[in-house]
Amino acid sequence: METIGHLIGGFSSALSFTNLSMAFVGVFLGTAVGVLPGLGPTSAIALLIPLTSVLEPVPAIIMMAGIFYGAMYGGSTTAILLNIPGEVASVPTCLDGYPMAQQGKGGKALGISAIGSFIAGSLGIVGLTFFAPFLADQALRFGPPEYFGLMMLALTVMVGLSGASLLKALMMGCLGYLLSLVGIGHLSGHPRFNYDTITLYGGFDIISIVIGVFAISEVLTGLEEERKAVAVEKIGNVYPSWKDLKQSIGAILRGTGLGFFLGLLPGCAPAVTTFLAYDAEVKISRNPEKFGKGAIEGVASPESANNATSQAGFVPLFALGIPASPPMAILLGGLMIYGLQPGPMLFEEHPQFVWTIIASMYIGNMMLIILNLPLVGMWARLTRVPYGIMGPVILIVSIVGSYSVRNSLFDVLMCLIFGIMGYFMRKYQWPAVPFVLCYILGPMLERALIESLAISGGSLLIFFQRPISLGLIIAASVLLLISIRLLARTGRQIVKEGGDKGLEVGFD
Amino acid sequence: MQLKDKLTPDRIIGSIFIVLGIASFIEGVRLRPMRMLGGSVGDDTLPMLLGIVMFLLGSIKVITPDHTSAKIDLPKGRIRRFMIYTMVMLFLYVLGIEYFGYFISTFLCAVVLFKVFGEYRWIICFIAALLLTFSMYLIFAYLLKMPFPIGMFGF
Repeated sequence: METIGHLIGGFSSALSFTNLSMAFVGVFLGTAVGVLPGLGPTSAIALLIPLTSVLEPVPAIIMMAGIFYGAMYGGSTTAILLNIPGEVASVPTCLDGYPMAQQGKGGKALGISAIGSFIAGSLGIVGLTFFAPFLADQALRFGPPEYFGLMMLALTVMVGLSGASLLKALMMGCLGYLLSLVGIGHLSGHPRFNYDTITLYGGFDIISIVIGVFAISEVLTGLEEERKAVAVEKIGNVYPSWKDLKQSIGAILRGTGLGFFLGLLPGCAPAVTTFLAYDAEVKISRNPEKFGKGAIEGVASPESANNATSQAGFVPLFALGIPASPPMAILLGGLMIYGLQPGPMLFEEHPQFVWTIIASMYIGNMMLIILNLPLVGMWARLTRVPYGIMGPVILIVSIVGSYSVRNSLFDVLMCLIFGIMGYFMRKYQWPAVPFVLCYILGPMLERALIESLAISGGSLLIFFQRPISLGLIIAASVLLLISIRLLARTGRQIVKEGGDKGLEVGFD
Repeated sequence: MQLKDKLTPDRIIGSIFIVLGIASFIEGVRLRPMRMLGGSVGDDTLPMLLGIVMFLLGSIKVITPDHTSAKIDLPKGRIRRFMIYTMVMLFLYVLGIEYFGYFISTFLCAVVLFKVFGEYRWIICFIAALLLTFSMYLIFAYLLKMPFPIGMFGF
C-alpha cells in the first residue's frame, strides 16, 4: 500500500508540463536513435548529458531513461523492414521479422512488435515498482564490506557484456580502473598518476570518454564502411488482427517473464535475453520449422523480452547502484553528475525523485505505443538520412558536447584520443563496456575496499565474516558461472548473428 | 615464424598492459610513504594491486596464441585517407578553436567534414556547415548559456 501511495505521488509530479515534455523528447529521440543503425542508446545518452545540464535532475533523468527504452522500440523497425537491426538486441527480430516483411506482412510485424513491447514494458514497470523498493529496503543494512560484495557482483556484468573474450574484458576493465585512479587520492589527498601535470589533477571526464569511445569511434567505423542511406518499401497496415494477437499473446507473455527476471541479473543485457526468448519460443513450439520463415511468435517474443529487460535493468540501478547494461552505466554516471548516488539511500533520501521517474516510465510507455504504431512510416523514412550529413553532425555535436561539461579543451582532446582508441577497440574486438563500467565503479570499489580494510585492521576475512557480504560474494561467483555458461551458449550465436549484420558485440 | 608475424596487435596491446602494470605498481610504491600513520591501506593499495593484475593479464595475452587479430585488415587507399583527414581536421579544430574562436573553427571544420563524408559540392558543404554552426550556437550558447571560446577576432 505504501508503494501505491508513493507511486501516486510520483504521478502527480510526473504529470507536470516539464516532465511530460522531457518524457516525450526522450522517447521520441530514443525511437529515432533505435531506428538509425550506428547510433545506439549509449552514445545518444552520453551525447545528451551535456545538453541536460540546464535541467533539474528529474526531467533530465526522465529524458535519458526515455531514450533508453525508446531505443528498444525503434530498433525493431529497421530489423523488420530492412534486415538491419538498430541494436544487437534486435538481431533475433530480423530472423522472422524480415521474412514477414518480404511476404508483405511488414506492417503486421511492426504492429505486433509495438504491442508486445508495450505489454512487456508495462508489466516490466509494474515489476520495477514493487521489486526496486523491496531490494532497496534490504540494502539499507549494507556497510562497506557489503558494498564491496555488491561491486564484485557488478563486476560479473563484465562477463555478460564481454562479447567473446573474457580475458579481453578483464583487461579492459583493469584499464578502466586505472584511468579512474588518475586525479586526487581519496585518503591522502595526494595526486595520483598526474606526473606533475596540473591538467591531470582533475582526472578524466567520463562523458568525454564515453562520447569518444562510443560516438566518435562509431562515426569512424561508419566512414570506413561507407554507410549510405537506405530506402524502405511500402509498409501496409500496421494494426494486427485479433487472430494475430491471439497467436502472439503467449509468446509476448513468455518473452516478458523471461526478459524481466533475467534482466534483474547484473550482466543480462537485452542482447542476451532476446536470443534466449527466441530460442525458448522455438523449443516449445509445436511447429518449430516455421521459425525463420516469418513466424509472428518469432517477432513477438524477442521484442517483448527486449523491453521487459530494459525495464528490469532499472531495478538494480536504483536499488543497488549496479548498472546492468551499458546505457545503465551511463545513466549511473549521469545520476552521479547530478549528485545523486543510486543505491538504497536513493529511496530514503530522494523518494520523490525515484517515484517520479518510475511514474514517468508508465507515461513514456504509453507515448511509445502512440509514436510507434500510427507513426511507424515516419520512422522508416529516417533511414533515408544520408550518412554524409549524419556523420559530421554527430562529430561536431560530440566535440561541443564534451567541451561543455567542464569548459575544457583537454576534455575534447581526450574525447578524440578515446575516439581513436575506441575505433581500434572495435576493429580488434576489445570490448568497451567493461572499460566504461570499471571506470565508473572503480572509485566506489576502492572506497568500499579501503573502508572495509580500515574497519578490520587490514584483514580480508571481514568480507567472509559478515553474512550479507559473504552472500554477495558467493552470489557473484555463482552469477559469474551462470553468465559464462549463458554467454557460451548464446555468445557464439550473438557474435555470429550480430557480426553477420555488421554489429560489434560487447560495444553497445 | 618471423618477428612481424609474432607481433600481432593483441600481443602489442598485451605488452602495453605489462608496461602500464609496472607503471601502476611504481606509482603505488611512490604513494606508500604518504599512507596515514598506522594505516593498513591507503591510496597506494589499489594502484599496486592493479599493477600486479595488469602485469599478469598482459603477460597471459602476450604468451597465449592469437588467432584472430592478425587477420583483421585496416582500411586502405581512399578510405584510409578520408579517416586520417577526418581525425586531423578534428585535432586542428580543437587546437584552432582557442585562437580563431568557435564560429570560424567550427565552420571550417564542418565544411571539410561534409566534403569528406558526403563528397558534396563545395556550395552544399558551405551551406550545411553554416546551418550546423549556427544550430550548435543556438542550442549550446544561447539556450544552455554555455560560453564558447572567442578567439583573436573577438567572436
